[in-house]
Amino acid sequence: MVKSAIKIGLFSILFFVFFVQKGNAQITSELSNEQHQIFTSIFNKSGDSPTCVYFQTFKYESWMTLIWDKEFLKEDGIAFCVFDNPELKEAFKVLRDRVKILQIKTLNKSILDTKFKLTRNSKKKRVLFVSEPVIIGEYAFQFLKSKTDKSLRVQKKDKEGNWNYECGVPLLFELH
Amino acid sequence: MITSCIQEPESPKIEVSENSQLMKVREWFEENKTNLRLPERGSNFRTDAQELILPFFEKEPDWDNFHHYYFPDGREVFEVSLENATKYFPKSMLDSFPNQNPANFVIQNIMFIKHETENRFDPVIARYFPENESQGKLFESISYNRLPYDWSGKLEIFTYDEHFFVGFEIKEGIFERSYTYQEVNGDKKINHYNKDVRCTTIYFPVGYQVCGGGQCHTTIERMVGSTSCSGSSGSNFVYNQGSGSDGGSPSSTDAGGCSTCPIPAPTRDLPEYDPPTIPSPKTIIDNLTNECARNIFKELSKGSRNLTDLTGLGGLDIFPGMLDLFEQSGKFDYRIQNGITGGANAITNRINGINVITLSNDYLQSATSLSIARTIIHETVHAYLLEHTYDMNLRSNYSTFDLIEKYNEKYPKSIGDTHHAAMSHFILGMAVSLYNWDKRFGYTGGNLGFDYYYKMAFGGLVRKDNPTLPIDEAKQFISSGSGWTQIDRILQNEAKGTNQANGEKCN
Repeated sequence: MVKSAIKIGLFSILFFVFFVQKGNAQITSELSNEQHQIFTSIFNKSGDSPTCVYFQTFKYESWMTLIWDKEFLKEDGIAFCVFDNPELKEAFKVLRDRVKILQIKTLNKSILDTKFKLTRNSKKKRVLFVSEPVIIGEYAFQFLKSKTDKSLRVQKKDKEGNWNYECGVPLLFELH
Repeated sequence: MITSCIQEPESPKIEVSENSQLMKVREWFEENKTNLRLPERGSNFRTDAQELILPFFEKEPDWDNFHHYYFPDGREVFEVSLENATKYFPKSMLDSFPNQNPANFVIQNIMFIKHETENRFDPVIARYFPENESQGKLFESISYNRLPYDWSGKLEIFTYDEHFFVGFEIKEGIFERSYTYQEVNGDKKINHYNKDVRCTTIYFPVGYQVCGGGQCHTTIERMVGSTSCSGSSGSNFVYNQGSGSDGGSPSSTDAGGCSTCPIPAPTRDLPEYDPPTIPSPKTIIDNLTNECARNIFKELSKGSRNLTDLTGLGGLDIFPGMLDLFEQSGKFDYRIQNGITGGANAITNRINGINVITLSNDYLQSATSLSIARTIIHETVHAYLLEHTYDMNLRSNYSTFDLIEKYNEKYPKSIGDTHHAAMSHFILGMAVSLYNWDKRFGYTGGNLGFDYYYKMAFGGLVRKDNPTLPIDEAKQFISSGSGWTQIDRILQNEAKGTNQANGEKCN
């Protein structure tokens, strides 16, 4: 009787560990190739010094909604994003709902450029955290955060399918 | 960079769109102006509520003269001239403008503020009362959104039907205080203090005087409080019933003068007028409590024009536009204060749409005046670049915006790196400003040799990953024959006020 109970207990633990881990693996799925391209394209013009990036993307955080704060978003644009193209303005509207469902996904070292170094240590001094890139039409939005800065980057896809810098929105920062 | 500094002509598309928007405001105003009165109010000079109410007159805006801008919360504003209308001014102006008609120096505008949700443009009246003759401005050069950096005077806001709303006192481009008037009941000794806003209320009696047989008797009916607040940038002001009284009799009021007093307008039907909330006008707020830093800041802001003086610097290779930034450095709003900065000499950030510069308390205790002046110039450039990033009204000057954006693409991780890279192009301008400050106000009187000021202008332009080294963009501007070690040593000596420093310790 006791042996059976132990067996059932062990089985339950194994079952739990197996399925919960599998479940987690599903939650932390990998960024797509295109999302990796978007991320790396943000650094197209930056120097060669390696960027230390946290290996997982981060979910929705309340500071992201600063974008739609009246202090930031104006009729004609926001920070470096000028709404010359009405589609960009519209994409910002759509983004508002999409940020709420941002997921934790892992970055794949083998797809990334050599100038990126992935780390699992979130307490490193200069580690950069990134959100999952959100593609809306021809635009892609990605949030970046570090110890001193929180910002949004917007990339645009050209006719050849390459992602290029469109604009950026610094949201929280400390200038010295 | 040089060519990009040429100011681009305003886009005709924007002009057309502005005019069509203004037409909408005009149409709305023509349709609604007869209803724009507060409920249950007379047109008297005074009412039982002890409000300061000026005689009402019909407003006929000069639609050809207007400013177009947005409040920080995004509401659109058209500020239209009322130049041809009756002008009011405080009686005190008669003393400040001897043998002159003060009305000629008053700028009087009507501000149409677009409602957040409804299709309406609630107006308020803005009156700019200069301190003296030299502060008189033309309509084009002054607006609620853009007070001149060296302007001194009072800006008072009235409701459309001339109830006093709120006043602001500005001294040499720096916000001194806001003031409102209110009848007070209860405790009359409480002053309001918090970290950012300091308010003081002064109470005075209101009554009436009866004179007869050579004797006058005064009866006090109530107390009225005049509330004055400093450091209230970023505040929003809401019109309250009962605000606006200075409590005096009509003959003793300080705000009752007018050039041609009109006949009071008859009482109208109950309106649908709701005076809009208004933010503080755009200006600089000085919240520094460190006396020495406060003096340096005042000298720097006072001398905006003088800081770009090139006399004696004829050999400098200054290209057009480089000094524009410093000439304009006081033309945008920001707050400056001292406090805790987590180890940095100073930080600049943006809080609720306001650029805030904080100088470190510790740094102010050790640094020389010269170092503090350098730091204020550096942080002011940060504030200026931020303003160009977020204020769409400044987009007619794309050269600065383009410069920052170029580096924003290069430095996606940090706006600080973006700014410092852009700031490298202004090293010479910063050096000229520092030199001129020292020449006029500093301990060493500008006698350290221009190279010394030039070296100091590199302060803060260092790599994030290794602050002992300069950023790449700054390297190219280091004079041949001098190295970064030398520059860094000067900066450290002045910042720490060592015996190797040339400047005098501030505290």
